[in-house]
Amino acid sequence: MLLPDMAASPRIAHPPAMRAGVLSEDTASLRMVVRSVVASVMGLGPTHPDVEDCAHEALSRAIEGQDRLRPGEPLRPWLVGIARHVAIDAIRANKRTRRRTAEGSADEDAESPLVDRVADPTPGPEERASTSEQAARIASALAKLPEDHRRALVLFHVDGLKYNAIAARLGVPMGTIATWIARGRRSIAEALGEDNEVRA
Amino acid sequence: MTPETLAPDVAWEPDGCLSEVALSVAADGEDALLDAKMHEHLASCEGCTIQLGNMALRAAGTREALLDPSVASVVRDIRASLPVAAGAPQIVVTQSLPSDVRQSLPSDVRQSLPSDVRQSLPSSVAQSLPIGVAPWAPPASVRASSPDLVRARRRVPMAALVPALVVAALGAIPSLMQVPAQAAQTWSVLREIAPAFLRIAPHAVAKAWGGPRGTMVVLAVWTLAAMLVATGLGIAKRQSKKLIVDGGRR
Repeated sequence: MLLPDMAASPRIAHPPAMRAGVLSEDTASLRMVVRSVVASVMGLGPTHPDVEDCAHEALSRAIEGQDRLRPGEPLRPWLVGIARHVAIDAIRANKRTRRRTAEGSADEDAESPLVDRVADPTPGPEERASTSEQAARIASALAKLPEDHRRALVLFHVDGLKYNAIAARLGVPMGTIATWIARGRRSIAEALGEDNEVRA
Repeated sequence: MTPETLAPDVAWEPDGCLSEVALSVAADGEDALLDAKMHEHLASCEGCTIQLGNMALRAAGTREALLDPSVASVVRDIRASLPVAAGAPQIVVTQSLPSDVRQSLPSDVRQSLPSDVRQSLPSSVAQSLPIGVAPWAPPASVRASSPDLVRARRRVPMAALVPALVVAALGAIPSLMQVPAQAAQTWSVLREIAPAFLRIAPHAVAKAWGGPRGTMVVLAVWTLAAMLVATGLGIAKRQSKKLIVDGGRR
């Protein structure tokens, strides 16, 4: 039903993550994250066929577009972005299909079509707040964080260090680094209004 | 050595699912921090899988936020406050660095400079780097000759020099063998012209030193004047080099 062109694609017949290249990192782990992101964005279970199709499509796009991964750019955020876009594309395709179905039906006097009641996952104008306002929110969220949390976040996301390197740098166990990073992200997500209802 | 994993009270929720911290770790690919039981649960629990996606999206959003150019100064300040990494390159800062070099230093290096030097730098500086700084002053024995601090001592390239000298000596052997014959020829010529030279020389010397306007006197005066000018130029050039190395400060 969803993404018929993807389902017919020969790329899906050959699991792309098996190929060498950009996904040489732990493939199983990456595949799980991609599938989770797609499931989260689409609001479906991780074993849903559409989620599987989209996960394959995201991995295919990642392999085919690996030249666009800039040197030094971390793989996971890039791959998560691809998975998110693939999932959003799938939702849009699904909406178009529903719209055509609704337009073709005889019950034109029915209440609002289903497509109008489906939430648009793309950021609306109100979400695209002014840059200065967003910067102020980020800065404020960072300022409210304990210094260690800020440092851990910057070392991980800006400097691209692994947890063990951050732990060595800051002189604390890796578990502590994990806690600091998770809490720091939650604070920033809450400040930006992007919290995805992850359990605390 | 046992690999470090998350403590159970940190990794698990009371309802038996993985915690936000554990899911964040998994989203970051730090799988070594999760034990086998956590991995097994993550692979089988639908709720945790979806939450893993949420955490991955949250991580990507956080990264985007931190890399946003509008918060670059905030991030730079955080990075400047980081402790120095072990083994990080150390920059030795000395006040004798040229001013243009000092102005290109990152902000955290600039902070280590004395206040008078810091004030001379522009407000806009290069992006800060996590590097260590060791303020340094030259030993008293060499402080007076600061150009020596900048000018690296170069070792004589003996490996190239010795073979070159050997080749040159070998090439000169034919010429050296002709020296005795040439010396004898020169001696015979000198014997022929010496009587005539000895007769002319007294008259030439008398003419050259004949009073204050004699040729040799004028030549000697001009030579001394040229040497005086050359000495002055040399001193001026040396002093200007010293000023550059000292960063223009006296």
